[in-house]
Amino acid sequence: MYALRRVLAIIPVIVVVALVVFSLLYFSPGDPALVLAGESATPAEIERIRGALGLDRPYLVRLTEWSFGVLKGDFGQSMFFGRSVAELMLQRAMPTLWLSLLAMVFALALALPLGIIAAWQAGRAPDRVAMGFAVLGYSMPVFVLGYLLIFCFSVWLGWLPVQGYKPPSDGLWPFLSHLILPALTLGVVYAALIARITRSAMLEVLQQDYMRTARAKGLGLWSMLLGHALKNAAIPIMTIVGIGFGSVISGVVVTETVFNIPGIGRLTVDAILRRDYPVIQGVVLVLSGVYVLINLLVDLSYGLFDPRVKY
Amino acid sequence: MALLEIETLSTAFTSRQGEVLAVDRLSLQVERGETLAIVGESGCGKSVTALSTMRLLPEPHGRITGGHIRFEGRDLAGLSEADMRKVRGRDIAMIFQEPMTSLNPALTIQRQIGETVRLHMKLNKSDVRARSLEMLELVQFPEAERRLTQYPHELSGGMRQRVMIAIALACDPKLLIADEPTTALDVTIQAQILEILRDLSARLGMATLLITHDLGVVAEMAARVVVMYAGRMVEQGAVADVLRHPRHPYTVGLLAAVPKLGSSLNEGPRQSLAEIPGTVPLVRSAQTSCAFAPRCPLAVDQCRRELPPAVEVGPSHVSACWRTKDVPAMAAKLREGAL
Repeated sequence: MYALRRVLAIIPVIVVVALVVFSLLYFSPGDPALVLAGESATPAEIERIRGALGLDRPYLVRLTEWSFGVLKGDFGQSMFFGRSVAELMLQRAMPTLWLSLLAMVFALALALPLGIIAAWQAGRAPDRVAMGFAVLGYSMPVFVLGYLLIFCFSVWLGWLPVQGYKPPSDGLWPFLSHLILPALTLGVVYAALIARITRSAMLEVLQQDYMRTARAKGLGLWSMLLGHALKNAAIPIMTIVGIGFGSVISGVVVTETVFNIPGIGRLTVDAILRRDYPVIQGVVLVLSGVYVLINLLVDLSYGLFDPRVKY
Repeated sequence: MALLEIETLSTAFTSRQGEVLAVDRLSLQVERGETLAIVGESGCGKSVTALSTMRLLPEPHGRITGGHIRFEGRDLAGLSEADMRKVRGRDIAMIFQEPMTSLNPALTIQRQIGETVRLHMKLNKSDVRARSLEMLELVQFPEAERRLTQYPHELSGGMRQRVMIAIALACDPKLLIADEPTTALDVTIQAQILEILRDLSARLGMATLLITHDLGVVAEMAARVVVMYAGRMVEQGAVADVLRHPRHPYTVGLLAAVPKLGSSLNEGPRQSLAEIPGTVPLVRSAQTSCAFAPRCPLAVDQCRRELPPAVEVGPSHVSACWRTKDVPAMAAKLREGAL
């Protein structure tokens, strides 16, 4: 029942996002017809392009048309590529999906051990070092970290390719080797966020009476930290995994540009530069949907960790 | 040789107000199969004594600064953490005051009982389950089978304390430390839990170190009692001797402070409850005088200058008081309401 209510609650969120995205672009300055027509175009030519793209029709008409299209899975036509937005996004989806998935794996693999060790050693050197890294990771811009890693591992050491993307069908190593650096770049900010929350959540759990009971049973350190404490700290950690996914989405745009990956992020940047409105609208709407969906899954996962949560 | 011999144990805490000595050169013994109670006010060091024995002090703020804790001849105070882990849960088990918060809310009852068994008795999966079930039945848990898969929040306080007892006794410990096991429970549930504890320690031949502030519980449960004040033992002996013929002014005060059922129904004006004036002092370093002197009606100059040694006042009855000879007279006067 709770799950159903949560799923239904997504609808108004998506509607508002769609409305805002569409209106923002409609009212923002800049004219796609100008970009398409080129510098030497006459006013008559520009007006003709406007008419062809339907840009001269009133706001409400265009909004209604676009909304009905979206409901049918039709996000309109790209003004630049002359292909449907849905097709463009599908074509670009896989690299982005792999990239964010691997980034998430890296982030968790990095953040959970760091956060747990920091909490266990709270106030001591390992805690300071781990949290120092977290602050560094969180405050370093994605593109700086990206170029730093490229310089280190590709240019200097020559271990990994500098840029580009290879689909999994080209073999596992070509696929992975192109993905490691961008995923690491993208994962670090996310990891820093998760590590800090893991530390504070674990710190609170470690002070609970039941952790003393666990010690009184003669349990070893790892059974106490992983078997008893982590499950109790899971809810705040999962929450930040969901909320922090926003930083992955915004990071994707920069990372794909730095590493020249033909994904959704690059598509977004290109579309913005060309004022390809239908593409921008489609991408933003889909990414918002993904974000909302991830957070819904996070909410539903609470029941796995805390038996007191009932749906 | 006694099962547990605590010898001149000192335990200190570092707090924001500086160093505090919670236990000051405490010595006591627990014989095999015996129930010894430690009684005293909040802050007298009785819980810290229990935590020191289990080496569960919140390090680095709390630490043992001196003395020995010999369990079957082995000094626990000097044991490595790895060796201590083998003692905890297997040789010495502990139950705590707060059943509501002492169980892990995210794990099933079966897991919480079973993991001790698996850890110390090296049983396989089905034996672990069988043992968990057996333990729940031992603590008279209704519908034990069904409840194995439940979580702590589905149980009442009394039921949770039964689970705690089941966990503690799962590996047949030689010593059970029970730190205020019934303080957080309703009176009727208290009686049930005490009954289970008494019954099981007798049946399993297990020694019990019972920490409590409740003299009623002491009278019910223990054979011998140690009265603690400000981190030191002030009186020790058989329960009947100490409660009937106390030989330390503090014990007399504690006994007088116990409300008598129906006493306020007597004719005449309602009497106020007896109390010991003042509060427990904060001890910062090894004591050189009697810590109770500021609150003691019998205190003389010597009490404020010299630390009273523990002297024998009867067969295995010990009191640490300069004026122990005058205590019976004081107790008599107090009973008549003259003090």
